Amino acid sequence: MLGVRIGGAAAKVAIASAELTMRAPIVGPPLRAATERIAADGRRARVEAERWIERTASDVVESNVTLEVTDQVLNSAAVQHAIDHLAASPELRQAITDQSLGMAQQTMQGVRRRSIALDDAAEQTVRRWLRRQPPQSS
Amino acid sequence: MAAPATTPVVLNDEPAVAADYAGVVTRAIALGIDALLVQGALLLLAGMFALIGALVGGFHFGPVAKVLSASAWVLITGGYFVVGWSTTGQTIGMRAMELSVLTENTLVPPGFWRSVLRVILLGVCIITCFIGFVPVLFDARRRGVHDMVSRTVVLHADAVA
Repeated sequence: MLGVRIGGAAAKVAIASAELTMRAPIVGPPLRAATERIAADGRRARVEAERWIERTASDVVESNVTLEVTDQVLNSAAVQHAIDHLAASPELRQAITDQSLGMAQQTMQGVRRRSIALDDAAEQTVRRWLRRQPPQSS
Repeated sequence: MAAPATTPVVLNDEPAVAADYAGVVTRAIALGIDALLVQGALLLLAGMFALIGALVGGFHFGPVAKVLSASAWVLITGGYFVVGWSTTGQTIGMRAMELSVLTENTLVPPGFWRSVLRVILLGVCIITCFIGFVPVLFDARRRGVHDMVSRTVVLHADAVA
């Protein structure tokens, strides 16, 4: 704990002294220029690295070797075993069943809502034709 | 057009309003689902018989067999509705649309004979180009001719819950 505090204090002193040096009349401007050059170099390096990563990733994805390796992995006994295990999993089946049921229920809920609205619309249209009042209660 | 009820029907401690009764579109969808299910199952069955017949050299139906097959077709279709209505007040299509057919005064599922009467009248309503369903558009309790004669109503399930 004490070591951390001493380290923090030392860093603050170092930064303060660096800031003072940067503002110094003779040493400051060349130092600032050098710092900006280093920062610009860093930015360029980052852009180039990103481009390189993109190119490499694209090459890897498009390469035939990748396809072959993927095929090999998919056909491997371990992956087949994992697929069999997942397919036989009661939890997964239950999840799929629940999701399908949920979708069916949502669809039916929508159908019911629309059909009730259409019930009223059909009735009101016919009542308008016949100039009859809608019933309030039985 | 509709005869007014002698005593107001009470649902969930409140008098029933028109919205508690199922309208023509909702009922048509429920009927459509039921028709698809029953006729689909019967067509599948008939297809299987035809396939078996083709494999063993073909069935040749005489007039009696044709009448019997048609009767069985009608009985199974009618039976599906009668069993559904008289047990739970719902067929599968009605369950999907959350509807219940109940007697108009006591609000319980109709009995066997009342269901038989209702299904016969339903058939008549359908055969006559659905004219029997027209009163659903005017009646305060949204009843078709088959409902009026068999003294039943079709309610949304949440209204009777």
